Amino acid sequence: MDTIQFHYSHNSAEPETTRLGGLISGTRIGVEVEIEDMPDAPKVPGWRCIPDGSLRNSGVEYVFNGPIGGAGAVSRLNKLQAELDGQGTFGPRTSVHVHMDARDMLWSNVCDLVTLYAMVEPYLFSLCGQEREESIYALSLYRGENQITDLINIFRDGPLALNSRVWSKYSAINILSLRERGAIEFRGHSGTSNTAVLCNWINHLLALKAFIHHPDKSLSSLPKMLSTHGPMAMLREVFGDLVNSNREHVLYSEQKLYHGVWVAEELLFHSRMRQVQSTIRENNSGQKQLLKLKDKLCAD
Amino acid sequence: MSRDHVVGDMTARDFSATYADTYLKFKSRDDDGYYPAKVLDVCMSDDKWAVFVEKINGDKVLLDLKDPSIEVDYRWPTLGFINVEDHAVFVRRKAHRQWKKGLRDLLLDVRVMDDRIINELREAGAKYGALFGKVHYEELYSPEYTKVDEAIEQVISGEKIARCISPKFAITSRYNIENPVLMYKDSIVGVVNNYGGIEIPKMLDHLIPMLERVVPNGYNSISLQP
Repeated sequence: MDTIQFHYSHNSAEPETTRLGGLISGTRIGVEVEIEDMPDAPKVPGWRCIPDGSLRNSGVEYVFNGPIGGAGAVSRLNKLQAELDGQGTFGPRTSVHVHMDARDMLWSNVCDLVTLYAMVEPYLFSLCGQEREESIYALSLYRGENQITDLINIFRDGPLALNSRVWSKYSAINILSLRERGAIEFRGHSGTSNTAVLCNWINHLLALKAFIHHPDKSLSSLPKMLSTHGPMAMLREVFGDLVNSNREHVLYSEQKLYHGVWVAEELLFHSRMRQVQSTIRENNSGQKQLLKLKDKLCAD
Repeated sequence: MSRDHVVGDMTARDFSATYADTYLKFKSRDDDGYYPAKVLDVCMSDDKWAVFVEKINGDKVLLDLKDPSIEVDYRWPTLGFINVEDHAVFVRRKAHRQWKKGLRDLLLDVRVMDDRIINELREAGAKYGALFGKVHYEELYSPEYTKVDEAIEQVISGEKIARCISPKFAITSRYNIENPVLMYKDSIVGVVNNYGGIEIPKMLDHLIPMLERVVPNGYNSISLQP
């Protein structure tokens, strides 16, 4: 079976670090932090500082100087927090983007991860900053449902058909980054350099990948778990103990989680729906309804 | 509402760049509730500024957003199915690179239930204007869903081409299908039988909990087929 690294000719994935430093896995990540009002942006070890024209007042973007996982990533986040303390502004235009290494994943794993993400997205947006669910730079799947049709086509057509004509990077989950970097980019989070907040967010993203790779976990069992055991049980199955320290977000997103699951079910069961549609068309062909409509609506 | 945020944080120029030519919902002193309107322009003079908006009915109003009696709802509507005249449309939002945050046409993907039937009806003499357009934005912002039993009755009888029963589900006639069908978004997922019940194949039983939530009173008319 071919991995993302093979499909897009990326360098092979290095072994994951075992020094986790507060993260739940050693998967390599890349982080981009946007900040405004930075005319004298300081240099931060482990980060590149890039002017960003989409931001105001000398806004800049700090970008990981190459992907890194575990304790090394946390160390960089700590350095950024220390250097930016008291500087700049994290206004409504700023965001944090996290790239998660997916080179070791199969295409089917990626499809499952995107589906799992869709399922829990309302909860994740509660963590990100709820006002960002309709962000024009990171539109959520459950508020931008046309993206679901695009995803169904992408899942069907496979990794080589993935390009900027079939997917927009301005989605909350940017899978175009698979082709560019061998990573999945999560664009939802609001701007911050707070290490604790960022580690919490990154751990949730790492948990998605861990769930997909876990041999005993089942994606298709989650909708039923939501129906029978409720949101907390479903989220705990995906994120484990992380939800204990984020209970207010579970409560906030409870009702919206059903929308996430419905989006995911569309991805999971789309082929069944197509099959049912074909069967209904074949077994029920006829013009009876059209004749009734002409009779009622075309009188005179 | 986030009125304070926008007025406090945005300049007139920002507001214009972000919301001009898009739809938002406004509520002013004399209005009963929020109404959708298109932001036409932002007028500036010295330190004052106001927005010039056009309601769906064509009325144009100047609104001073610093007036505390004026409220703005910046959220997008729910979207999904809405009833339009005798038919229904399914409206979804697209992810698209752009600066504007409000609702605008190019961000909407609209599917008509069922445009082939409407074309046939037009050829047979029925008069249909635009199948979806600006005049229907009021419905987009304040959709009214038909009860499932009424929707079935109206579609079976030929009185309506389609009726939506929730943002995700609609009962509709489809071209060259003998009986009305149940749509889930843009997929046919069930058939309305000759007794007015809805039959859904068992392989789509995952839809049942969703239907229970959206049509609690009509659930008894829905049955699973092996």
